[in-house]
Amino acid sequence: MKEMRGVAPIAIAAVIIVAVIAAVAAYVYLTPPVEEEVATIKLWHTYSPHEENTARVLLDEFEAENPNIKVTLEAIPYGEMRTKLMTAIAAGMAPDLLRMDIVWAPEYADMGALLEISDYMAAAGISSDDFYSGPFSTCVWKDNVYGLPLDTNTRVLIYRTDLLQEAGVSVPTTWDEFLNAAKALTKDKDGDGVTDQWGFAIQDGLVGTWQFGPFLWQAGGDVLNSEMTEAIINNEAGYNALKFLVDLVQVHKVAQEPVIIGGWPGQWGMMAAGEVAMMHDGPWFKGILEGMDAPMEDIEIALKPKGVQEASVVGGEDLVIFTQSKHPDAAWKVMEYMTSEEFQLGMSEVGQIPTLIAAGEDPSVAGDPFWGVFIQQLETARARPVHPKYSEMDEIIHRHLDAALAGVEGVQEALDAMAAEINELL
Amino acid sequence: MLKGRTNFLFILPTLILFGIFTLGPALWGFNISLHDYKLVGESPFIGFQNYGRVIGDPFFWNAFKNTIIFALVVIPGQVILGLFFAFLLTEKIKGRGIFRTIYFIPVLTSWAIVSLVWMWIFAGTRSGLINSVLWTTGVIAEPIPWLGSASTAMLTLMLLWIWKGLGWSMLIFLAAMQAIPESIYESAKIDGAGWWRRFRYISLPSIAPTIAIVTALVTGGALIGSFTPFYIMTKGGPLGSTETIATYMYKHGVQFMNLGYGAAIVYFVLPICLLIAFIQIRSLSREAKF
Repeated sequence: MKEMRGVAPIAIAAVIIVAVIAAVAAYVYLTPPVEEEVATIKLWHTYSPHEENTARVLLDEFEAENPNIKVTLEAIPYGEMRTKLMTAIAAGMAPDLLRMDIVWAPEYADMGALLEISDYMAAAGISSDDFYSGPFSTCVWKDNVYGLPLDTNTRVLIYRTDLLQEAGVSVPTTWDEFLNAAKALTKDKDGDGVTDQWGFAIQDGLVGTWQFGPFLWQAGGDVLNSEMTEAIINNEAGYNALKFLVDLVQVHKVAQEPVIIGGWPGQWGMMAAGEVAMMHDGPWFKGILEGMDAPMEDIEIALKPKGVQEASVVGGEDLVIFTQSKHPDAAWKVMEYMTSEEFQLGMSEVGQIPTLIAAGEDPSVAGDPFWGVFIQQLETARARPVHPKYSEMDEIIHRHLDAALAGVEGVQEALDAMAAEINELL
Repeated sequence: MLKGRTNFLFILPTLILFGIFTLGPALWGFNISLHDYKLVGESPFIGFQNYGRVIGDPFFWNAFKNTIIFALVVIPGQVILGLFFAFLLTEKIKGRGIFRTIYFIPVLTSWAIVSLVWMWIFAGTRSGLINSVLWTTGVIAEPIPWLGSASTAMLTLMLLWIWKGLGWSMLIFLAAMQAIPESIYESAKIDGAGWWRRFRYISLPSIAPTIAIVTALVTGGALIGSFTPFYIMTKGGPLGSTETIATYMYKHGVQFMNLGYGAAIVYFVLPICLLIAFIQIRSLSREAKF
């Protein structure tokens, strides 16, 4: 390269640096501060585009009635929400409102990131009794209320009517019936000694409590005691629950280890192909199976079989206000609207199950043959431990659940290990 | 050549950006590792306690072991196979351009998409692509749980990693090999050198510095970057057999929000990675001589 001499290169470099600094400074200082008469409420969510469109239409009506509040919706993929939210909070730029996975609420509440809303609720005449108790309980941490349940879901029993008919079994309603049905539905069709059709599928995934919780509660057990000071997962009820699940795989051989089924295409792929007759899942299974060209006319849903008692697990989202919000009053107004019957019924048309009892009991929801089952199951659905350390607890449960289902750890051994590790977190 | 001071001025803008967006956050990360770090409110300074916890954490050492085994397989895999394919594609064979493109396509495809496709291919049920092929042809009597067994999950991920990264190392080697004057190969051919001798005594020594750089980068990728396919396909399971340093760090740093501990894991491993990279570059890089 030919040597450049004199001031030319220095001048070029200097011009670049000065230009960059000037541009940044201009952006920071010359943008005029806007005098806000209209409060703009930023709402981050994980709605699908279809759901967002419906929410937008409903919020437009709200804006028309409240001209001094404007709501901007920002869609964020679920997988990125956590990192994005953590970054925003650390920078002091959290959104005003967030549609948050119910299991995150106690964690962010404990951190001091969420606004306590009891006073707002009292002033507006909103009571916890207006909501289904499972979803509402996810907003409560140490007797304070940090949000309202926005939408909910739960897992039900999904089955192939054609396979049940073929095996001559009816839809199971108890654990015993369920086991018998699963046995009758597990078949080696071509006689090569390898099972071709399974009675039940346990979906793989990180969500240990999501899988195991319903069995645990049906057996009368729980993860933590009611004061959340000690793990009770290894008591007798816990043993019965895990024993039942492990025996499905190890003794009766009517279900495979979840890790074999895998995360994707998983239980849905098996059900679409007729390789499994029964599974547990939330309402989204319908879209997944339709996408896999499953014979939808042969697929139906029912309440989960009952153990000592009926139970399922609560999913869904809470709406929360961040303490960093500059317009908490306006944010509450939006929240009040989004948990109203009008908004909840509007969103139920795109598959968002209402958390408000009045909306859930509306004939358009409760009377629907599909959504009605979910509404009915919700009455016995329970929240996973509402605790800031839930994510870590869930990982512990998941790890030992896998080991027990693989036969690497004994049932009591796995439960005792879960309890010991969870107690360390409390 | 430019004078030192002038050079410095030219790279100054890049240095400033590197400082603000890379070095600064990296140093801040070290600061986080010394605290019981909280997003809101005071974060108490706890010195090197997080590092003590790393040393006593059996799950960390499991992840560490897995990562080292993973690296020991995929680094040679990516470098040796990359060299091999690069050499093949410098020879004058028919459809050379098409082959080059085919081998490079996996590099351009997003990890998320590739991972999902491999989950279909390696599904542990009978309807999984590989299982159904092996089963209908009578090779296996029972479906193999590729990603569902502690003994095969890591192997499957190693295969995926090499397959996806192969095209990248191949391309870099290819570029380096094309800088070697054709006349050297021709005179070697006249002297009766076969393909192995041409590869061993001409290609290999000429691109030694490139091999050093590629090995160092591939090593960094395997040790610190082994995340996306693991997180999507196995989440560290089954039974912790595919937990890597990166997935374990993510679990603590993001999922459990133990930010200080997650940062400590990274800074515990960093000196080890730097040392390995230093040794590799020192021992492999020699000036190319013709």
